[in-house]
Amino acid sequence: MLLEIEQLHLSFVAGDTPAHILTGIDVDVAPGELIGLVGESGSGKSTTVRAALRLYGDEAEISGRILLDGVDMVQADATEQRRVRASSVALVQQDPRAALNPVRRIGDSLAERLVKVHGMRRAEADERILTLLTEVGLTHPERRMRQYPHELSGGMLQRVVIAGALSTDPKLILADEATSALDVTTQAEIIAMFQRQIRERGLGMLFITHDLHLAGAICDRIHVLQRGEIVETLQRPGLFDAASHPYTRTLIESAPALARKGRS
Amino acid sequence: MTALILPRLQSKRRRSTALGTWVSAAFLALVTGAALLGPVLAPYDADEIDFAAIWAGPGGGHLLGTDQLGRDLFSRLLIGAGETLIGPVLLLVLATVLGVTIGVVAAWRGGWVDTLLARITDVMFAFPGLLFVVLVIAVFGKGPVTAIVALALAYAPVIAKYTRSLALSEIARPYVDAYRVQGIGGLGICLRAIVPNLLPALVGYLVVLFGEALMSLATLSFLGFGAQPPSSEWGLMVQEGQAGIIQGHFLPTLIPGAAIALVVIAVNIIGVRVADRLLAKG
Amino acid sequence: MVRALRRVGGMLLTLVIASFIIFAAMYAAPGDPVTFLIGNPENLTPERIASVRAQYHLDEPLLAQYWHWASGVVTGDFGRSFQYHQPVGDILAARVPITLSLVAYASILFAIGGIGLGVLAAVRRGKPTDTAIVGGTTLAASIPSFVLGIALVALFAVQLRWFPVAGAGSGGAERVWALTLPALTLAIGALAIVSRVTRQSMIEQFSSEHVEAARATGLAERFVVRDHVLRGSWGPIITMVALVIASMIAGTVAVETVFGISGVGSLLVDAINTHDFPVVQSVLLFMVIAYMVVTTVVDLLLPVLDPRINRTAVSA
Repeated sequence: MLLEIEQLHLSFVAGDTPAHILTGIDVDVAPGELIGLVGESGSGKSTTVRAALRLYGDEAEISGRILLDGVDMVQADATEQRRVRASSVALVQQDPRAALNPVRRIGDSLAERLVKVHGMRRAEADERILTLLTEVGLTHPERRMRQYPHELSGGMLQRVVIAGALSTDPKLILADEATSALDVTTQAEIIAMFQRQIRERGLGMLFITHDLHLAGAICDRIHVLQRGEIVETLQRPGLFDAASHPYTRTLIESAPALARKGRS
Repeated sequence: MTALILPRLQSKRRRSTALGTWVSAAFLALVTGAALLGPVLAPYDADEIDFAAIWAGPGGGHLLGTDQLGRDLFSRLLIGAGETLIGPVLLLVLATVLGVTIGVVAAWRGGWVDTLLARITDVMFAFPGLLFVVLVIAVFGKGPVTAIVALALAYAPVIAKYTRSLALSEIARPYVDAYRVQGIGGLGICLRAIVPNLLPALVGYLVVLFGEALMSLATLSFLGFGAQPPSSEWGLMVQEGQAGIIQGHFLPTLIPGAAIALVVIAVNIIGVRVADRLLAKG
Repeated sequence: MVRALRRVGGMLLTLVIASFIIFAAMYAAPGDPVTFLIGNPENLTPERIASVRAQYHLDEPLLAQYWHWASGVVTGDFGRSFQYHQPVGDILAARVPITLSLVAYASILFAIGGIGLGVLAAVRRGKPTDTAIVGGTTLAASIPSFVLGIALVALFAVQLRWFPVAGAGSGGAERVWALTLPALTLAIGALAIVSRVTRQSMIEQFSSEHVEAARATGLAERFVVRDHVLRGSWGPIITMVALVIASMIAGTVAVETVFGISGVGSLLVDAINTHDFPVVQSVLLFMVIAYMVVTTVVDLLLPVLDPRINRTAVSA
């Protein structure tokens, strides 16, 4: 297993009363698997990912077990947490424009982790990034490396971010609404690329989205999240046909045309 | 003239903030008492020269010692409190009357009055710090009255700009139209409704400006541009006492200096509290 | 480029207006400058008065006098001092370097100290260190610079004898030594505003997604702070540092007086006390120009730090 989340509880301590955000989350991702985590905004899907990476500080109280590539992130100290983040896993966020430092060149942003975290020489890092930028389908990769984020379109930037995510050969990718900000065509291209990477590299991916039909089209298994709780898990084959929870049914019916396609 | 950017208070700091506010308020009450009753309470005359007791240390008939002319420091401090505190009050009253009038008129009339205000503030802001005040003093000569009027002229555009932004949102409210329908004129609406409604926010801003105004006025007196001898205004006391520093007589200059700093600190602590209250009210 | 030209054009216009105000104020001053120029009342003969008036263009209208003065200033002729009977340009040339060294020294101190404290407060936000830094610097800013200066002299120069009591030293290491206390005095008052802007700007960056992304790559926290949080915060920090430096040139008036330093600040005080109008005008003009040049230059340089500003013309 690349990711094993067991009975994850999380609450934020703001002021005197703690706010419970996640209640008993269970999610597994094995190599080669594409697992969906679906829910409306505020359902706790992004929080789950950030908790898994331990990106929250003292403000969040966490209990349960989060095994990331065999390391329990709940028990691990800061150094160990950082090692896991650096080598085993990569995060792809929704807005690539916000995810890249606006005042740095793209090449510098991508090379940074290879040089500062993995001790690679800069020339070597640049070479690797160049290969990856080509692999994710960007034209003129040398020029892209010298450009600033504001000079590229959203779709191009998301490819840049994904190239960055792949640059350290992670085993697991956490994609947090990674295609939601893109137009339909670009979305399809990026998803095809994700699927190819999963196939070729044997990656595991946790795909977070508010779009149940998109998840239905690509995921091996889907967890439906409502108010910080997994209310239903949909398995292939069958998927939507087995859906029984009223919340899941609402989500399915919210886009009837696509729902039919998903059921086929 | 950088207006203070107030620190946001976190809930954890409430308790200590409350204590700080009470201590500050008590201290200011004490100083105000001294300012009012100073001449009555003072054991000596402020300018009673005693050449037999030059640079006397504390104790021995002089609570805080004496200065280079043998004048009793404690008495001078008490008597000087009045002039030190009334100066910033006067200049802010003057600046507020000017500033609020200009600000409200600019907001009400718009047009050339508004443009003129914007140009005047632009040019004023080209003179950093106290330079505009220094210019006025260079022209009209030094002295407490010039210093106060010059500072009031420097603060008026700042207050006008602030008042204008407050008044603009006030004028946009429906009640203004309601008054107009009743046939009440512009002046009437401004005086009866707009200005009174601006007062709470304005008072909070003035508390913040008070600390700055006191510092500025004391600085001018220290430079010899404000209060003139034989006054015992605190800034002037610091300047006169400075001569003793080199011989190791620190108190005649450090005591009035500390008094100025403590008053400013206390006012600023209360200012933060007032601003906090106003923010909470929305 | 268009933005730069407009900015410089705006600055020059404000400068002309400010210089006119400075000049006209002296013109309007009560009292006849001839009496100061001649000095000894026994020399006040009608012929002498007439010749002095002609020499200083005192009998021409205001605008003509302003023109004489302004065109002189542009060519480096600031007029003659009433008090010292020598060209104001020479007096300024001797004093400006001292004031500029003082401001430069203070700027290094407050920039390093203020940004350092701000970074520390931001990293430890909400913790006792943060509260102590915000509280401490705010208290320090409530002490007038002349009081702080005198307290530092009393403690470090008179009591401990570590520094000279007055003067700017004769140059080199001695000058740096002598300017340490005055520079500290100027710097301490600026710590609050600079550390607060640094802290605020960084706290906003801490919650941004690219900082989270950097952290998610396993980057060590010190790199996250240095290369992402601080890197993204420079805009407001540099602007504030520049604003403080620009105002500090005027702030030397009180500090130079406290420490008996012969810079332009103390020159201004002397000139006002002796009604030496040409000197007052020139020093005021120098301070206004310095203030406007510093703020304009920073405004123009900011795009270099932030490539985004190029497109979205931010103006002051």
